Amino acid sequence: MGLWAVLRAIWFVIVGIPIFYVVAVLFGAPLLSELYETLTFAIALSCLVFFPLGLTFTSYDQLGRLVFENRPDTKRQLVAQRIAFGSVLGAWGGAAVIPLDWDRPWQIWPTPCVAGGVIGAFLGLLLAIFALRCGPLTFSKRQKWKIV
Amino acid sequence: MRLWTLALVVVGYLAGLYFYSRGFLLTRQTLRLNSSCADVQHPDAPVRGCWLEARFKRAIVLVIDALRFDFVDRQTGPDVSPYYHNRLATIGRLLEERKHQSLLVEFTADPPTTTLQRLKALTTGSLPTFIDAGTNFAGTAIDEDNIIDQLVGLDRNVIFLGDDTWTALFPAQFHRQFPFPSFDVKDLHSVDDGVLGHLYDELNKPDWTLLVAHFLGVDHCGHKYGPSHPEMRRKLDQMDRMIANVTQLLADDTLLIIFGDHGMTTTGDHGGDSPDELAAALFLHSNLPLHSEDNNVLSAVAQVDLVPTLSLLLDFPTPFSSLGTIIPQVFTREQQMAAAKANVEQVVRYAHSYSKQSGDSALSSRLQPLLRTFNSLTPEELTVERCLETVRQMQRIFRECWATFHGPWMLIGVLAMLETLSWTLRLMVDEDRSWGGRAVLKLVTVLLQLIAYFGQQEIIPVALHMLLSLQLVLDLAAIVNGLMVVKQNRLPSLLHAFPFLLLLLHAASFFSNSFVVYERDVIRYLAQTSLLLLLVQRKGVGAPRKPGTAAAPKIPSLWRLICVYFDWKSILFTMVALVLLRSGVMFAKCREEQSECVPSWLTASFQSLHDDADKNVRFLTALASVGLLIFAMRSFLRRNGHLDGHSFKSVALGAAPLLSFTAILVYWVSLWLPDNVWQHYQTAFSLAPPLIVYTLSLMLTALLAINPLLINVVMGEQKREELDESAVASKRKVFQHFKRNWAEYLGQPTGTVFGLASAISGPIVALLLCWTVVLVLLLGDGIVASNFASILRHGLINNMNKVSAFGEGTYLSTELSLSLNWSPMSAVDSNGKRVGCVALCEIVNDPSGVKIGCNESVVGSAKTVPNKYFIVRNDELVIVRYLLVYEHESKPPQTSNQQRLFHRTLGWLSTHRFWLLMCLYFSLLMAVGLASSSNFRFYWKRLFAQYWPNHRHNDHHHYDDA
Repeated sequence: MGLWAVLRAIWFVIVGIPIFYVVAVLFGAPLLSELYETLTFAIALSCLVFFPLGLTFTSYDQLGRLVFENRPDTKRQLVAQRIAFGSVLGAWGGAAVIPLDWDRPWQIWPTPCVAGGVIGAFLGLLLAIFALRCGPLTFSKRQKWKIV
Repeated sequence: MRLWTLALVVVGYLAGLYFYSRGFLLTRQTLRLNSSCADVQHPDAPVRGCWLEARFKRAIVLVIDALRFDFVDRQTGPDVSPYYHNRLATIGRLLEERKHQSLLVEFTADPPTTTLQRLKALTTGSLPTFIDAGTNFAGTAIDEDNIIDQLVGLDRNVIFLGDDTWTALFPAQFHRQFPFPSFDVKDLHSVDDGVLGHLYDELNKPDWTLLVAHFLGVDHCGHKYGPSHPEMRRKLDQMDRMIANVTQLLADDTLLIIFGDHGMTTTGDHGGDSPDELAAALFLHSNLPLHSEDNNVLSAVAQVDLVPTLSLLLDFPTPFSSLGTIIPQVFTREQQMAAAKANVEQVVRYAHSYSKQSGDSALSSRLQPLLRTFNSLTPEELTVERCLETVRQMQRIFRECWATFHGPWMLIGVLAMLETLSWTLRLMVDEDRSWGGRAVLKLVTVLLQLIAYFGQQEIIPVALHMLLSLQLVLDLAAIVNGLMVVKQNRLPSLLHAFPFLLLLLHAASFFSNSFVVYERDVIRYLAQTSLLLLLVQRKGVGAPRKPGTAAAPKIPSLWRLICVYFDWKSILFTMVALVLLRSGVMFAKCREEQSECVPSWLTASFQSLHDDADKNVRFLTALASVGLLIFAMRSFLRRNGHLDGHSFKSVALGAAPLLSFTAILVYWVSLWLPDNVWQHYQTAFSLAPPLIVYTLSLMLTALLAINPLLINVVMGEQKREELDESAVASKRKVFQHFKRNWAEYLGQPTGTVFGLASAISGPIVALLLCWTVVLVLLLGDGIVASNFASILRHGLINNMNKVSAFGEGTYLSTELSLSLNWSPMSAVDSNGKRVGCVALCEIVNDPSGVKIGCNESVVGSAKTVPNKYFIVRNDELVIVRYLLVYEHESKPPQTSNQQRLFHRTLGWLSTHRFWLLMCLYFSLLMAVGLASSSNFRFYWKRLFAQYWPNHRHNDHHHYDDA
């Protein structure tokens, strides 16, 4: 990992922002009327998801294996993958509290989804640590990780 | 599945539905008893006449349908509407100038606020229960005691003009009647003009006691345009002129009563229980002083209160089932006491009769203390207020008892439903079992249900509960058992479990009030999630790469990465479906609870729009959507040969959608017409297009139900040689050569069948077409675009669900072992065997139509077809030569060493399953029974708590006639 990886991760985050904006709108966020709120969500989630992914992979083949085939090559990639998946799931689940009639200030979009994303990322990190410490992982010959 | 099991399933569902609705839909017993003059007698009060000396000889009742309280009451402030506030100036003037001769009352209706239910309450004085709600359009004659019958019984005449609901309720009672049809809510004027044509003549005739005139224009204007519309102002002004004329013609011995039977919401609808719908107006006026109050605007008087008030003012017996209290202000000081006594006596008598006849112990035990207190009052304590309070309390008790669900029946309904559902599941899983013992249980259940249907025994529900829950437990155990067997083979992955999680989340969301309020968002969110899941599950359909292969080319960019794992069709379809789902928000209607929600202009009624540009946009999009829908489905049917031939069904199927489309077009165009033009066409014009559409749809549905197959068989030589002129014409000749050989061999002529390829989907599309048209008409022009979008979305999703590994075509294989995997076993035949079959085919080896082991990119994939597959793109290159039919021999599942102990335990459990379940079930029953037994609880507390005072047995209060 070096400067190049960091730059690429930042580039990934920038690419991710419009993607998450579109996803948020598709899933029910207002199109333009709450521009800053939705943009906040997109930036936060893009940072949570794409920054760790962008930092850890070296080629797109690796990224494909990591994201779509659940085959991380290194420990770092495993951690990044869990954080990314965790934050997406967390943001998805965080939306559940928006319609509740509790009248709390933190129920207003995008707070629950951003918070859910952060919590999900944290849980993903914990799971990754758990998997690395005592999970059923075996080394392949070339020091790569493979989930059994 | 045999016929009798199917019959039992149907009976099970019907019984569940019946018993649930019996407990849930509240019914009130109607008493066929009538009041008479001799009923109420006061030895201490000098009664001249029937129950009370009459204050008025005659009464005029003007019902203005949907007259909300604020239409009449004087409104000030910034919220005053120019369309409906302060338009009835005559009433306002009378209230100010003739203070003691006029009285305005906020007239609170009981829900449901539909005209039929209101008229029943306003004539009988009874409270409606839930079961009444559905009968608005089939108004049947009232069989309870009511105002009209009482007047007719005393040889006094009732004249009626207006809404024909009244004549449905009172078919033979009126002395003279002028009914006008009320069904067409788009028609604002025909009822009102009809009433006005006769009203003044009738007012001048001397032979009536009660004159009822029911105006519908305001209500219909609300339905058609909403209250905030210039038409409403015009309508209310017309009513105001009418009231002014009537007050001028009013005689001194006549009471004028004007009221609305219910209110309306801000969109002009009614039927529910929102304050706007419940608050109607009641206005009383006479030439002589009516009351002596300073304030002549009263708040919150129940609608049923008019019944005893009117009956005592005109002096005829209050209807037997009336639960209203009198309005004391309109009686003189001397009369108030007698009126209140008559009122309370009548209600007490009804309470006695009702609780005696219905045998409702809960009701009796609640009425008892109230009656006891009332009977013990001394004459000094018996004030007017006390009497009226007693009546009000009794009314409240009745209201609460009639609004209490019957738990045991509902439980039977739910259990029967669940039991049938689980049994159906079991029948689907192992249908080859014999169900002898189970059938006996089912039959006993049905028998008990029949007894319960006719009888009143208290023990039957309990027995049914036990029987049904026993069967439910048996079924559930069997299903869980089956699931465990499946689970041993393969654990479902998280990705495959997620859709079930979504289903569970959806089910769980109904337990939270907020999620119910935002149900449409919850469903949309979950649906979108499942769409994305579908996309993720389709991942790798086009992935040729394996991690070990070194030859795989490098992926240059993120976009290429996605393209490697997903085919463009999936991504495009998912995105379009997501956008379509999201755009459904534009068509959202607001629920009452969503206070911040702004209703979309697409859902408002067409006539309530003011802007012509909006109207244009709506009309054109609606027309385009419905046109596309109808013509797309019709062209599907035509392309697949379902409209070929000259049978009645195919001709009707071809013509009906076009006719329906024309009818819908005419109907929507007629909505543009301004109201004064509309008047000339009357009802025939506005009702004809819907009638055409409904009739055509019903006819087609019936035709399809009788014979759903939409195929056309032409025997002999092919009629349409030019069909499918394509590059494979020469291969076609080969196929026809085969066919001819076949015909010679069999000695029978062969024919051509049109529409066989889509023999199943064709009728479904035809049915969809029939009912889409009806739906389009019912939902209105604003929503049609969403209808179109939803059908499109379903098509996209279904298309995505279609999985074929190497592109479309008929898959053949040279290896029998491969083919056998795709050969499903039949259900058990009459000999108790499972049968499967494999076809042996001959193909024309043509490289343009048959793919064998070639590397060619096809839609949705870029894969090499393995050598063992033959994929035939053109069906006509295949001919079936033999069908190999074989029997299935079942193999026991292979087990590993570790699993043996587990299996042995499971085996023992499954062989002794019945006894285990019975033990479990009876211990459960014992536990439940003991927990609800008061004696057991008593001793339990005795044993474990040192001191247990105040144990009370349930004492049943028996109602005794006081």
